[in-house]
Amino acid sequence: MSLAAEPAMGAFGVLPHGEYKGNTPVVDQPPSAARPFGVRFAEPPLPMQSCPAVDFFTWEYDSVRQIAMVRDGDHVIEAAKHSTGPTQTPTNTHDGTRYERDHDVTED
Amino acid sequence: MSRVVVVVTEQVDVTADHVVLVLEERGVPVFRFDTAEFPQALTMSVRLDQNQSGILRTPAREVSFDDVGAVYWRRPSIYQLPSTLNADDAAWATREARFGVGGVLAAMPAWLNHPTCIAQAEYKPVQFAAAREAGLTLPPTLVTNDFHAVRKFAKEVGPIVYKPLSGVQYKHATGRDFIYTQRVDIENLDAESIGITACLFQRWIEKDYEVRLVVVDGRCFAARIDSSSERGRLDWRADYDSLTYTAISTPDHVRIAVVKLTSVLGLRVRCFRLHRDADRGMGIFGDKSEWPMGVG
Repeated sequence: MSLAAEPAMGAFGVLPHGEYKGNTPVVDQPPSAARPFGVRFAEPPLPMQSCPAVDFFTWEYDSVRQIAMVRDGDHVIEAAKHSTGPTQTPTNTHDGTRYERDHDVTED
Repeated sequence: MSRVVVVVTEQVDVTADHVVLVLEERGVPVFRFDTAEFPQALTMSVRLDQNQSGILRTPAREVSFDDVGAVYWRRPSIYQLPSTLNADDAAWATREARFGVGGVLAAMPAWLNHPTCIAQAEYKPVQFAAAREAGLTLPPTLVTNDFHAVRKFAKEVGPIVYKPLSGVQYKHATGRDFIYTQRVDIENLDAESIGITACLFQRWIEKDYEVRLVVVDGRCFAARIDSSSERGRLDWRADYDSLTYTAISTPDHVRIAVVKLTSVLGLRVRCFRLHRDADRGMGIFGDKSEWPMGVG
């Protein structure tokens, strides 16, 4: 398990009581090789028409107020009040990745 | 003066922002940090004596363990070690941080929810065992890497769906996709792909609608979720534009069961996905999440 994939605390590494040791041989996958069954269903998220995509590059964390702020034109406002519908949290919490701003379209 | 609520989460977390804002309105002091800030922007010093005491400090503020009234664990990210470390040193230092910082945090009282309980409850088989104990109706469900077992299961229970066990994300070199609940045609099953890893199959439930229910210290907050699309009816997370939400009350038998289930898992807060069908009523166990979402 790479550092990036190791969560601060969570199910990974809890059961079984140990870390992934990296013993599974991983090779570049030939086109004809079988893939895990569930992967065939992987699809990009549907873009939401009812809510504009969030531009995370306008966001920054205010360490004094302890919330995210977003720049909207000349104004800087609370991200929580700027986003009226969906949240921008990822739908999976297991992988421990720090920043996942690209596809966080809505709440889970 | 109120005791401090410690919020442990990543910096981009609007749900946690809402919590911070509400606590601010109520005059409750908050200390928010992300474990990723350790060790470069978060300092910890703890005495593990007869009475544990210590401080957490960021560049902006500091909190004494003596002043902490509750800890809200959301979705913190992995410790960020100095980039000057080589890979071996970084791996070891990260592990030390997990056991040091993680251990100190785990020893704190008054969790919402305790991370260890969250971790335990992330396993679907654990959820199902607890749901069974709590008296919720469970749909026929199979976890296997045996192709023949899947075919036998489908013949026994009828139409089936596939659900990932570890969450909906599928990361790849160019980004990430999502694996939502999918109807499965047993004619398209193949032994090789099913044999690669654990797969969860479940009887397809013809439901009237889904319910998102949040339990907070025994109180229930439920929303009915209707979808106008086939995709959304199969998995409402797959088509948010098709959804409408209605606040509903929680029937007593459901409330008793989900409160018990939450307790069995050692949690104080928990979100549930429940299904309602015309025959059985609301209360078919669907799925889980340990984090309340959707504030706002």
